[in-house]
Amino acid sequence: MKINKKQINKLILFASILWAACYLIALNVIKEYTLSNEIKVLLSILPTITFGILIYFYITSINLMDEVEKRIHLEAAVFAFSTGLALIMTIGIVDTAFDLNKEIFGTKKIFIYLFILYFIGVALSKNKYLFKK
Amino acid sequence: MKNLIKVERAKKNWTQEYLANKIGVSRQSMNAIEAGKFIPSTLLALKMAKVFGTSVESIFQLEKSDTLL
Repeated sequence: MKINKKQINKLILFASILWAACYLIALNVIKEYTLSNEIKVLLSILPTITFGILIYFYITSINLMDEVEKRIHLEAAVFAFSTGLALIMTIGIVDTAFDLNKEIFGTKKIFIYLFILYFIGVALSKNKYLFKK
Repeated sequence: MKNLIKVERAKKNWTQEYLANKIGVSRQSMNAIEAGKFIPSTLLALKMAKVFGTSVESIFQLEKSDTLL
């Protein structure tokens, strides 16, 4: 079955909601309840599986893009990866020096910054190719 | 590198959207290529030449700044 851009965007939205729901549920259940180690491991893996589904749909959507759109997402990924590395490195050093608030800069939250950096990268690249005069 | 997509389009009286649909890119991408912000692949350049009924060299040309080694 051949899938079109509209359909894949809907699937990405659905997979994003599914993953976010799984992540929040797993995080809160692990935090709030006393569970056996086996259940904890299962709950920890659950968001990874749904995130894998999201990545699969995302890669499928990349294959449907034209070359300008592919370049935009490639540049966004490069931007997010390099600035993300710099961010993690800086947080690590600053945390050693000042013991940062784990609720803001802990490993449970840091991936959110990477998402934000990716979207900043998309915006910058779109501005370069599609909007800038 | 400069391109003469706009000129070729004007000759055929085609809109950017029409050309974009013919070669399988979005209108925004077509605009980026036409404005010289993005240099297309050989495949896309060949597709463009084919729909215009001309050669790639007549659409895409090197400028003085594109010095050869």
